[in-house]
Amino acid sequence: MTMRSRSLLLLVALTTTSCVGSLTTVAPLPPASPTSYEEIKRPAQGWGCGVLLFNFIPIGVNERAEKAYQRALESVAATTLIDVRVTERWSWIFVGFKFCTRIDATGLRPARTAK
Amino acid sequence: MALELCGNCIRQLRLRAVRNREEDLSSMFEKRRGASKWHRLTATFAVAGAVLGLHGCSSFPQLVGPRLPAGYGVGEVRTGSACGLLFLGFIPIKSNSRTERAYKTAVGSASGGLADTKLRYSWFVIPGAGLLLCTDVEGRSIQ
Repeated sequence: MTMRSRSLLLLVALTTTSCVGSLTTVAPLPPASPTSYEEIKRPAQGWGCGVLLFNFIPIGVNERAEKAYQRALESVAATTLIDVRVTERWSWIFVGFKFCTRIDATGLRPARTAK
Repeated sequence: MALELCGNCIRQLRLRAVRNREEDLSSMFEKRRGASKWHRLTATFAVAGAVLGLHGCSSFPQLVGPRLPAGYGVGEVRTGSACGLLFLGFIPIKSNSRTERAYKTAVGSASGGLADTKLRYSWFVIPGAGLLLCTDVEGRSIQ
């Protein structure tokens, strides 16, 4: 393979890159017995962002839904979420693109038993 | 006589030099004016691009995990996917509604929505066209 064809192959590889993330649960099945859980009044919210550096190097782009889900859980110390809404946002940041996923939901946690 | 002629020659040469300098200066100013116009236009586009780009675009919130009714049942696994293009990197063509469209495709004819919803993102660089963004939604239909 000549140097020219190698460079051409590299150029094609760089300009036709693609990436597929993994399936991430953002709205799990609610608990089997709803009475054992209580709703948290404060809305749960979480952001997950990633950067597509120079339009082909993904940094956290494919895992952003998972990050947003975990942050939404942590924001209200919930164990699971219901009423899950997903919002997508993208912006251009000179060195590539920034993609963000926002999750808004209602948090659930195990009900405290009254003494 | 010769001295007078020489004096006239010198005067004419000086005048020519002054005219040449004036012409040079005026052409330079014209060039600068043109350049400054061009710079102003470029700067305007750059600022507008930066504002638009940094502001970015946002989709509407899409409900992907609705509150389930009491005594609900879950059915088969359904999937849906939708793509959108960031044409030339900044013109969104259906890229902000892809989660909504993917969810609607997955729900299909099921009226109750999806439970146990999962999301997957993928992107493809199309040389000369932009960035193709896709979203896959998978969930189980609510019965």
